[in-house]
Amino acid sequence: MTRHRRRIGQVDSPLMMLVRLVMVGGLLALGVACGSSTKNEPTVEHKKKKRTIELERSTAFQPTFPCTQCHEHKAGNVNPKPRKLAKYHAAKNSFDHGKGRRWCFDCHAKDDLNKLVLSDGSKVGFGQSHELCGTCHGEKFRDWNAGVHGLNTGYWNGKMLRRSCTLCHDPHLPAFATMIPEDPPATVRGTEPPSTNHNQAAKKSHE
Amino acid sequence: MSDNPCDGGRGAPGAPEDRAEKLVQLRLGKKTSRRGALKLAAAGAAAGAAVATAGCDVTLADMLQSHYTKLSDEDKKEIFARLEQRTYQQSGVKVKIGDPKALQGVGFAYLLNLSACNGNRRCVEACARENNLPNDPEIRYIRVLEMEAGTFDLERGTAYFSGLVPKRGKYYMPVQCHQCDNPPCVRACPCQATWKQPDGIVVVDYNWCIGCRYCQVACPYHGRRFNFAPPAIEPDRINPVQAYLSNRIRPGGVVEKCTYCLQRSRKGRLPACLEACPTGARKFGDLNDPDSDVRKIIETKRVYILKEELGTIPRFYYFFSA
Repeated sequence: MTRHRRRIGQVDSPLMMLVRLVMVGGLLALGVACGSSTKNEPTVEHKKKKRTIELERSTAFQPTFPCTQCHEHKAGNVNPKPRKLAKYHAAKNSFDHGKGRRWCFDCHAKDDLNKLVLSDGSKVGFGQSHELCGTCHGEKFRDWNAGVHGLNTGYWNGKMLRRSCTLCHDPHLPAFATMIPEDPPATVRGTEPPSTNHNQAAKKSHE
Repeated sequence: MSDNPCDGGRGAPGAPEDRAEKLVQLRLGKKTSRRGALKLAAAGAAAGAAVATAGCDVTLADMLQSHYTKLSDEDKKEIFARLEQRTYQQSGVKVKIGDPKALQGVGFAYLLNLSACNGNRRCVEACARENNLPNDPEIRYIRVLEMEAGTFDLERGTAYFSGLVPKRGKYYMPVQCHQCDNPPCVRACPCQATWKQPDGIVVVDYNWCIGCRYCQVACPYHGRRFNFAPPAIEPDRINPVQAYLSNRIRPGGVVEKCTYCLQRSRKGRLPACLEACPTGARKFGDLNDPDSDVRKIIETKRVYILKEELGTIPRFYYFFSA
């Protein structure tokens, strides 16, 4: 008895290919029809709005801005020599940025205390802090520009508000401070919260 | 006859009409003759009117109401008005129940930055406020897990941490409904009270849910919650902007879950948990839009899918970006 066996790699005749195509196509169409029957709920047309990202106006500095209301006598007459801070800002132990490698006038403009200064000497306002921070923290700046880093609020398909660096980070103490969390979830009535360390609990039960 | 609803199915098995009569009596909280009960049912069915009874959570009109997908616009108008009226009667707050439809061509995705989250639970509280979640019995859609650094072993995580966060050697992983594209909860439901809408959000018809809690067992993310009692929400905590399929005040004995705040997100706004996050760990947007930030993150960052091996295909992703 001899039977014709199809060898691996043998190409179908054009007719067979057509038949296969029609069969597969039919099955696919059936699948789509069945699948879509569960998704025939009405939808509304999504009028795609132009996405815009705007800076949120900062109010963080309002009580102390402009800086020259206290530091006026220093305007144009500052001591540019890096030294240990003895008064005011140092008293609150409020500076820890760059592990001692940073100094006031790396960021604040010497000749205009109401402005920040970039490394090329150009000045930006306090609301544009990202321009300054981005000169060192380039990776973060890139992510922030793409909407990946930082808190954006508002609309996902319209006007989105984003925050400049200093609205969330204290530039003098840039690490996020520890926070007190909201209350832990309630347990089912009459039960204790489960042990915080599963391994310890398991060990105890073995002993 | 006992007033305890748990007794409903017990005792000597009577004729079906007797059981129906008993049920109506229990639900309405007052005694009626069988004839009266049947009359009431017939009247309710004919007029479609709400048979409101003082101190009772469920009326006959609720019981005779059809599935959400079968409701006409007039039905919806009537039902929403009834629910608004009930909230006004119970708490004195005027609410507006809407029914925002899925946006065409939009597929939502949620991304959470595990490098940024510090476990402060502001999202949990904001979610409770937005979605009218009760404090007694307490229901919260988001659970923040305190995990041991260097492992994704959920057995070693806990949701019951307190004290200053973040703690050394820990990281924090909030878990909520993942709005799976292959949702086990939807397949588990015996009465199709939960289903997936075209924009990817899995919703529950609270009036169609029978409270069997099968979906809760089927969900691998602990995404669903059960109302053991009618929710008691202080009037000043009620959010008046409500949607029928999401944050309207639920009856007792039904299952509910996170809906990505569809009353906000379908109008273009970002979810409440996202806006409350002080660390900016949460990102939300349209995955079908190639210019959206969620798409950029998926394309460029390290992304982790919780319990990916189960094949649930979630619309909730974790990513790392210090």
